[in-house]
Amino acid sequence: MELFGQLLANAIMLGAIYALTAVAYTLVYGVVQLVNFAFGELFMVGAFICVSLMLPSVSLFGVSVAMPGLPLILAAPLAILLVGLIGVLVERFAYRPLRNAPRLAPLIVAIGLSVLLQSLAQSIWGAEELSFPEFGLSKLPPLVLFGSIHVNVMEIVVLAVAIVSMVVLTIFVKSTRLGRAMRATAEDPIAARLVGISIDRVIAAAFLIGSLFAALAGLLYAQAYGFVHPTMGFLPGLKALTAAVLGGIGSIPGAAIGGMLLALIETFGAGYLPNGSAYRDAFGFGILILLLMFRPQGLLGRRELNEAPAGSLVGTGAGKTPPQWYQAIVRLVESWLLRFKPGKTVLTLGVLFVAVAAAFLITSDYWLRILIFVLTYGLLASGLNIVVGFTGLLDLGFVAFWAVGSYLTSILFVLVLKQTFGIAPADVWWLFYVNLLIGGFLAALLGVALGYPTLKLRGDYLAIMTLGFGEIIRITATNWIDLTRGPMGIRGIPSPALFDFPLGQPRYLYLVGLALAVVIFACIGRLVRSYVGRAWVSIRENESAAEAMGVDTPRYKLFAYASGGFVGGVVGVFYAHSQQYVSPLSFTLFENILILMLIVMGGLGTLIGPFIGAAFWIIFLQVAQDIPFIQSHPELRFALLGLALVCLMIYLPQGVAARARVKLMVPR
Amino acid sequence: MTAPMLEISGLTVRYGPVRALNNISLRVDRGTIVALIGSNGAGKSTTLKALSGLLDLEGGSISFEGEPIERMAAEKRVARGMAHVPEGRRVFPRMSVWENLQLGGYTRPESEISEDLDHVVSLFPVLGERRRQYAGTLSGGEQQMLAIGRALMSRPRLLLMDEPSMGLAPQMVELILETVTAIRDEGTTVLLVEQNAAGAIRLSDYVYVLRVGEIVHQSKGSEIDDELLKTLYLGHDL
Amino acid sequence: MMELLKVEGLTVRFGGLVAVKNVNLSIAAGSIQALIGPNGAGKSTFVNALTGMVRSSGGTIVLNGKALHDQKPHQIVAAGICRTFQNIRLFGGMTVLENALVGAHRHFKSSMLDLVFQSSRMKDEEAQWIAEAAEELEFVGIAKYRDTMASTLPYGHQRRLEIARALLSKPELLLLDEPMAGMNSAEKDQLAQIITRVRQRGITILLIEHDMQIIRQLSDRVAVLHHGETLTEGTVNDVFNHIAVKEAYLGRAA
Repeated sequence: MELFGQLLANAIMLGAIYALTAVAYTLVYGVVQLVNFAFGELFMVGAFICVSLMLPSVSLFGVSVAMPGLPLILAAPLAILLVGLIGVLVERFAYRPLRNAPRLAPLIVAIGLSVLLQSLAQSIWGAEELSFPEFGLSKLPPLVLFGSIHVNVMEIVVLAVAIVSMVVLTIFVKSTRLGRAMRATAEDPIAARLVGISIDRVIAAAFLIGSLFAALAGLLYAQAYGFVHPTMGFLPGLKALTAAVLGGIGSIPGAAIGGMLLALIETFGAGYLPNGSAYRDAFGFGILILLLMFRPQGLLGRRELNEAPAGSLVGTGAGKTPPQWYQAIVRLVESWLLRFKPGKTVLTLGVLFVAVAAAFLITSDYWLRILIFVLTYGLLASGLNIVVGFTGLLDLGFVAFWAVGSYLTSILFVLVLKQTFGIAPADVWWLFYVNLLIGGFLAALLGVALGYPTLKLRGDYLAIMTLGFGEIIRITATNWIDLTRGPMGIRGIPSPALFDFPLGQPRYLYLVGLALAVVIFACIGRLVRSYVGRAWVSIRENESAAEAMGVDTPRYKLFAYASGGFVGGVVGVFYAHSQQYVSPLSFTLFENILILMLIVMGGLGTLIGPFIGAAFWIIFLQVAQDIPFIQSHPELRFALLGLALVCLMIYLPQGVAARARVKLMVPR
Repeated sequence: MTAPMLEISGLTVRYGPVRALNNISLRVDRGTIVALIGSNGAGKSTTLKALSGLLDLEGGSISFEGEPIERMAAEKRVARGMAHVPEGRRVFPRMSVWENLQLGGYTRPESEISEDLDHVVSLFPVLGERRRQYAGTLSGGEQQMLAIGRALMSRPRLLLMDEPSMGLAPQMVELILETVTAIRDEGTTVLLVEQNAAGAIRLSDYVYVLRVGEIVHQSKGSEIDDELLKTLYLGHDL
Repeated sequence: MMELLKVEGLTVRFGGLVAVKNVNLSIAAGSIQALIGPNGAGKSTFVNALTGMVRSSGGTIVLNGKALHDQKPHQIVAAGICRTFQNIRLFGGMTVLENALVGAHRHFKSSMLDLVFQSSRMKDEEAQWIAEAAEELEFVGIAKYRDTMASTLPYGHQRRLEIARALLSKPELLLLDEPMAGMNSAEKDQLAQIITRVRQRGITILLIEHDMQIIRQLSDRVAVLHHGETLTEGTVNDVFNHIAVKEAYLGRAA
């Protein structure tokens, strides 16, 4: 009973914070049907600004800056207002240009903004956590309720603030002129314009209010747990999105109910289930997945929100002329690419020759390792590209396939053969090659299993569901210690070998990777240049027309997941043996986003794009380390990546390799 | 001589590769009902959408009370005195009848809204009776009245009506068409798009007939007889 | 005269709304059957139900003695019904030839291994259907655009590509959903000729159209839908002289 009461008190406070953040998602989704992933980051920025304002001095970009040292009661509103301003600017400059673009484009922008804000915060405030300054109320002794339940005064304040702000918002939306205009826009934007409502203003207002709520939630969260950190918004952001979907996205009472429900399930699951606290984060995602499968409209929501995104994948941009420097880069890449016409045997052989020669001409192990990374990420991106680029299904759980391949071979070689049966890896060198296939097929199987429940879903919901799958698999890999060794990871995975000849040197690893890349590249190319590729692209371009032309769309979607998964699995096996170490940290949502960005940068739905994106990014990562300012703030590189992604979506959504569009037939 | 209420010249609109309106010109005089008729896909709704600012023009000009408005945002045109009752009514289904009407007066000063509400209720008493009901639960005819009432709340001098009789029972069609006349008699100019050609011709002062994005006939309603109508409307052989 | 398609009692409900109510229609093999009716009469819903794109709530659809209701769209294509769309639905990011080849999708039998190893079976199949697709593009008169992106094709040609794409599934029954919408009279004449030549190839056609001249010119029989129900069905002359049809179209006074 004591435990129950304590858990209940914790859950209610957490639920209040989830609910506040869920309001942000719900409000914006209701008005513009956009999942603004960046609310999780605005949540974090709100907390950081608030803490900064409360301290006498803060180190920004490593420079100590004097701060006013305001009391919480002044710092909080100021921080909240500043975040509101950021939210409005984000809407104005990142989302508004894409208002009429296919829905994948703003979704990718949302992801890019998330990365941008998080990396920027890391550069500004540093990667260390900052503790939340003490203030009057936090120093009070906890109250004791019913003799045994300890409740901090601030927990009551959090709940009270949440209730008051939700009530105020409800009244605002219910009975003010702007609130009515917001509801009208949510119901029918065209009719709203016809009665004289300025849609731009309503959307800006939704972003403003949403950002205010996210910031409020963020600083309440920070004071409750006593710290701020650049990644602190990530999980609560996802949870809040889950809560919003749970309650029925678009509904404000739904957000409140969803937030409370999610917090209750999490807290009690963690408290009562065996090993529950380890799987705490998985509960929410599990519920999310079940919900999307059986009741995608949530508890209080409406069904029509799972719409088909018709037309091409990301559109042709906002029709804006990109800046000069940007055009120059694109022209450079294109001129190079136009020489590389797919299908020209001489040229393909030439490129291959250069790639092989590189292994012998480059003497630095360091750069060879970088090239191995380019190949690994290029291949992963190629696998994901089948699903996202060719078939048009935004998959945020792709890293799971990579993880499956990596863990399969690691567990087999290290935990089973070496440690259980005492078999030396050198005696079973051939198993690496077998595992490439097994890993591929296992991941393909997983692709079908995870793809099946998503068949009905489109657009945003598909992305959210795959994200849930990816997170569950990562959480499982972290916590199923017997199988995976948990966060410690598995060490001592043998390098590949051929008979007695070890291939552990970077030069040979690079050649093995290159061989894999050639085979996989050719296989994907051949599938794409056939009726299968045409079926995939037809689903991307217009799913209902594809169906009407006789394409069994569920089957080809599953086949896309399986093919992408296969590639991910194969690369996973290679990755484990080339790194000789795997841990759950390699398979995060961030990695998935990174891989997605590589494709977007290179060109969605092109064969060569993923490799160009990977080469661009990984070489940039290294080169940029020599730039002084970036040297001291390496996270800025990721901020630049996020920014590049946003600009790409606005100016050149097809990526830099847009001209390298694949012919969907055998070249003649 | 004052400028006509509305004057369109050389209006051209494209939907992607389709030219939906090709160089059409028409004029609506103050205090009249002008009907725009024609078969499906002739471009009637497109004309209204271009007028209210929902579609961008490829060419041509629109002058409203002598002022060019072709570049004005849709919401500004409402404030200028032009309201559009859209095809399919498009009431806000999960908002009450009263809220729908209040939204209709979005561009008006709050203080004058209650007076306008009274006026709309006097025109459509049933809306007063159902003020608390969700608009989505009204019958088709009631929704049409609400859509018209909502548009009138902005006190328009020009009312654009798109197929107000579509999908309604014959009695209701009659009632809606009578209302159109009543609105005109109160001094509001009406541009009426109708598939119910006979009904529209009967009550309007002037008629334009559209076919495949072009105006193929214009005259007073009384000059259009059945034979001419069939020829213009259904093709030559019917 | 052989009956190709028989629809009996077809009903489609959306929530409380009955969009198609107990419709019967029988189409003779080799004929052109027109389906007309005012806006919102249920024509498109009827076509969507025929092609499996919306679920029917009652009634039967039989093609050549084979029951098709409750089948999925791709199964219906395999059975021999293919369609075009009123609001053109091409695959904009694919070339004209690739669009046409998607229409031939159901004929491809190569396995994954055939594809990966580029077997002769795969190559033959691909070559055969590329040739057939090229022929159909020629047939509708857009052969020279074969490598153009479908989204950049002129509007009239997009309509023709939709027809070529549907023809490549080798249908017995071709559904044309307002193929003339948005076309000028010269384009309409050309398209009418194409439709006539499709019929000469022995393909049965269900034509949904608003242009009465075209209906008169092309069709053997006409069915009229109004408020989701069959108002009348018969030869062109019978139907056009039917008083109820005029009322449905022109309003009560006409």
